[in-house]
Amino acid sequence: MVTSFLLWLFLSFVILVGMGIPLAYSLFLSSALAMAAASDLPSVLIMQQMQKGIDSFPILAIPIFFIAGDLMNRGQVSDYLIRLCLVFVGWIRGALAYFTIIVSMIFAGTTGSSAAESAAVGSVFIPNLTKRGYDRGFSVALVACASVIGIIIPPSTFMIIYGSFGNVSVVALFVAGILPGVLIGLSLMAISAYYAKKYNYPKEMDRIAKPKEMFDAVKKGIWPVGVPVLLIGGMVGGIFTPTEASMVTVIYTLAIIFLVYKTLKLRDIPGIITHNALGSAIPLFCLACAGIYGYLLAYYKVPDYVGDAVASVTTNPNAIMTFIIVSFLIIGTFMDGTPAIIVMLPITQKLGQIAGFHPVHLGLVVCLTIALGLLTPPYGLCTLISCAIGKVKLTDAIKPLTPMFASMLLVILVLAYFPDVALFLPRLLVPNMVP
Amino acid sequence: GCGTTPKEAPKTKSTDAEVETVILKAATNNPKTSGHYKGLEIFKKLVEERTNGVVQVELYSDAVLGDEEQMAEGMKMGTVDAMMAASAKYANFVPEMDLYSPPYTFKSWEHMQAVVKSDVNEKIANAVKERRGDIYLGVFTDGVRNVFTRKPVNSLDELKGLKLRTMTGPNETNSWKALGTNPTPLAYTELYAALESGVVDGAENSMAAILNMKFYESCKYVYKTQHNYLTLPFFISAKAIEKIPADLREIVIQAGMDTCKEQIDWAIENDKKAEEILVTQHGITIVEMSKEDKEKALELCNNVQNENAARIKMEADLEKIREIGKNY
Amino acid sequence: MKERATRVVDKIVKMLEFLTGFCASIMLISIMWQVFTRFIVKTPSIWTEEIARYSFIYMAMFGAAVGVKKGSHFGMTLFTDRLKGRARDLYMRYVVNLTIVICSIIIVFYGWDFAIQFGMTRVSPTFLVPMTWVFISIPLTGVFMLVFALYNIIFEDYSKEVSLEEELRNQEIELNI
Ligand code: NA
Ligand code: NA
Repeated sequence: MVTSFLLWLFLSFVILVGMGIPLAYSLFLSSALAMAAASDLPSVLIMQQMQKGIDSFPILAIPIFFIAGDLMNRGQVSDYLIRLCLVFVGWIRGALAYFTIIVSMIFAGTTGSSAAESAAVGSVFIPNLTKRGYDRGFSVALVACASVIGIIIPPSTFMIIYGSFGNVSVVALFVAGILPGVLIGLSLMAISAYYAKKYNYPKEMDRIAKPKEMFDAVKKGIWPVGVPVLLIGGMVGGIFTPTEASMVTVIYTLAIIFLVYKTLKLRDIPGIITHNALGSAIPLFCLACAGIYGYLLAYYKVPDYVGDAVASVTTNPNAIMTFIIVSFLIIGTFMDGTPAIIVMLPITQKLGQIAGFHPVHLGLVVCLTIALGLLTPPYGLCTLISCAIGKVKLTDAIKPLTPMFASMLLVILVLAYFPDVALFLPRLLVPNMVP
Repeated sequence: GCGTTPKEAPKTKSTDAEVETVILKAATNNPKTSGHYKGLEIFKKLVEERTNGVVQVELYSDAVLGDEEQMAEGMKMGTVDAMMAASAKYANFVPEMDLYSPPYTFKSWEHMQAVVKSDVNEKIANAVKERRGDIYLGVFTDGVRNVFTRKPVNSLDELKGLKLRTMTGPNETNSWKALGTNPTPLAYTELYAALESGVVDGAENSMAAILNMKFYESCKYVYKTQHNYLTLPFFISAKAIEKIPADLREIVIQAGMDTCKEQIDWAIENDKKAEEILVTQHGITIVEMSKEDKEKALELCNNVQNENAARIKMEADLEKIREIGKNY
Repeated sequence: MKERATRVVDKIVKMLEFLTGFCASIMLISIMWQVFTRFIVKTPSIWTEEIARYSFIYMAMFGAAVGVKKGSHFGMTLFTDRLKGRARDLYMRYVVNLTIVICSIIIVFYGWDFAIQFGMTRVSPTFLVPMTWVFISIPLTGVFMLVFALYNIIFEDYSKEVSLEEELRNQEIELNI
């Protein structure tokens, strides 16, 4: 009975997804079909698990971070950031490419989702990059990769979901995300430098800025830098929970928009709230449906079977880590991150137990790998969005994307196989959360 | 036929394959290292021994089958067969269970155990049976809860104004207000950091929890309030009983009841051990509560207990608990 | 007929969008109050978490229903992208939306069962109100999903090509281009 149940569960899901049924409904219906066809579980169980899937306090942070990010975006906060960057590095060749990365890294501190981030960062930078003579394919690839940093540098929707459902400290995951975020940022800069030299990309300023210009840019542009400082500082200090931190981010953003920039009016706010509530509802519904699927796997002890099967082949941590990374890269090619985390969570954690991975280390690698999946076709949301903005065919973006993708993969592999590197920052900043 | 020897029975598909085994899913939302899980392990051992392996118990920890509320719903759905929950959580389904929840309901382990043997407990068992059909087998415990703080607290007076992380619900918050503290709701997972940074001045929990969660790193003082001899009622569902062959039902129920006794003994012992480790290995200072302060605290909490009992219409039963308490 | 149905459905969408935003606002205000009481007043509020959590659930459910009308529930479109014209129209209507109809019926039916059978016997920890008031959000959403999916089957025209930009806009992702 268990075997036929799992066959139903798995095959009907694959077929439904392949048929183009939305992911949430594929998860829902395959669970219902398997339960009806091969189990005596009561149907109300589906409803209980659906409700449970979104009844968790930490995930309230998700829509709130969406709102914070959107406020920054519409309040043109990034413009001031760009001006800030301009006065300091405008005279370097390829400066605009560096801005893209730096702004993504700071913006990354506020946007909950990479998709929204590619849209936000992309619509500012891609037109500018191409206008200034940067190659279209390069610009698109750069924005796609830079926006993936958004998933890695806190806050991160994936980490909130992984942490709150996987019983891992969200704050520890956030802190762990800083190092890979910065490393990936630096490697993207190195690649950009190579391209800038090779194709003779322009400088943004022909001279070093005057102190007065610097002062003016800092006066206005320094405010958004406060967001990650407040956010990380507040959480590391144990002052805010992630949910409270998201709210503090919104309040701070509102304060700088209304008091400093005056780029939004009070009457714009309800629209922004509704827009982001609607936008976050889609992944949240997916989360609810993935909750059913994940529960059924756990109920039939699939994690134990998979664990035993893997353990019978190897218990070598590096081999298991490779298995996890490859699995998530494959899953990431046809499934969005949110449901992938939930569905796979029990299995992932079981494998982690067998290999003896630190929960924070494992969570970090999984979130990083899934973030990377946002670049890979066919379901590479960040790449797709960037291509849409840049009006480039996917094939034209692939060539410049490849070295960037490779460098990101390298960073992930380093963190995957050297746990001490991955856990360095959390152990330093939040030692209690990485026991 | 029946199983041969208890030792080889648990493996199914043996020679007497006509004995169909029944699998019971017993779950807790707590980790494998907890006293809760220890109780389930005892249950598994007793049931499998006494039914010669005909009834097998599968254990689920870490909220794999949901948190306390979802497990309770699962008991009705047939996805969970046996579970325990904090009395305050289960009271969301059976309000009568809340009788045991308020701080200072029990004065000592002996008092708590005497109440659990009394007809007050029987009345609650009937309410459980009537409202949900579950069979209430008895209670587990995770130790007695004490206040632990960053700065020393030497008397009841010094609790005043202290920002204390407590459990939620009117019974808890009102009692802690009555005791003069400033109760602060906070997710348990955030507590360590909050203690570390001083967002809260202290919290309350069992010695085992202080030890396991490393709260001793920021809180060096335990004020032995002994305000809550934690009751974790343990249940088996009606659906589960139906699954079990008729001649084994009583045996399983008895095994469940015996599990509770064994678990409590284990947990009380464990509580003492944890206290010893905290003192000897982690340099924790334990301040005993004076007799007068204890009396005063009990009195301050009376009102909350009365209101709670009135809400769930069990005033007479509260009186009985107090009556029993006079002997301890 | 079509105009009338469209008018009614658009009204429902408007209402749901308003409710989604409203629930989100309640959630935001509760958490803002929580932050305020904890850090400014120093007497943390006890009821904010429950209100925030439950309005969040309503927000997510209502928003998901709107998603059916807008076609914003994402999936793998590798296969459907290859369909053109009438074939695509028929497929989207009678396969994709019909599947949503089936799911919605299950959600309405068992969601109601769950809300009544399990909600009435469980109360929320802080306010002690029956959980039916929370659980009912599921079948309620199912009803709206059902209405929208049926509308899509009967009236929606899927024969035209959908650009990715349009699809992203459906997913509430705005492109400033
Ligand atoms: Na981010
Ligand atoms: Na992908």
